[in-house]
Amino acid sequence: MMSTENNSQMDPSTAFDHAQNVGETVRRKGHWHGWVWLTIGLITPVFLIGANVNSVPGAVQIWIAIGFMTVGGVLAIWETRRGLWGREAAKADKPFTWAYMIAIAVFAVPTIILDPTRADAWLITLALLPSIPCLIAAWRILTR
Amino acid sequence: MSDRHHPRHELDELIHSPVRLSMMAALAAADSIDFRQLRDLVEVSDSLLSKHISTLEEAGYVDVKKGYAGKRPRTWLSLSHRGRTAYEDYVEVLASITRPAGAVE
Repeated sequence: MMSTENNSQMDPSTAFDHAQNVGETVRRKGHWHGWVWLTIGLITPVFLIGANVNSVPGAVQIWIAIGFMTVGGVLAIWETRRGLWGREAAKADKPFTWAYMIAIAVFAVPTIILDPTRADAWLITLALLPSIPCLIAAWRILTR
Repeated sequence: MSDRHHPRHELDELIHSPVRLSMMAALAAADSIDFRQLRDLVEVSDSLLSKHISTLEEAGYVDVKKGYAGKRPRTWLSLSHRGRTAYEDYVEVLASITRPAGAVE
């Protein structure tokens, strides 16, 4: 990176290349948020199925819940410590968080009513729903 | 082509300095960056970065938000709408100068 304060020596070609390089570096650094979404997308179905199916032993359910909350907590702390928010992450965050929350609600209502004993097809399908917005958000952030 | 018409005259002098260009390029590619991260990216001292932030803030190119992460104070920087437009125009002028057809010195 340039670190001197010398206006006259910066030719346009160097400046152009420099601007492109800095932009690319920052875009790469902004990808961290995509990894957060990807992680949430992968662990959510495990948590939803593992913690809601009655045939899963109680101790395992507790450990699954603890694991989910621990990963969630670590991600939240990691987020607050990051010093760079990517443009795509800032755009994607709100709508995809809403979509995720709605999908969680869509999963929660029938599981409360039906109280599943096994990981049936409908339960797995509903448990995978919240992953969709997470994976789309991750893809959008990581590919731009 | 007379000097008056050469695209280099359209270069925004406020951006066309190594440190400020680095800052603007970094901020243009992000939504917001905190002070320490930007300092590390641009590789300058705190005082020099503060000086350039003030210059860009006075020009209306940069928005500065102060807050806390826990008990730790943090300063977040982002490009204003005006700053983003100015940067995009600046890069456009640079591109027109460096393009083979426009590379007339």
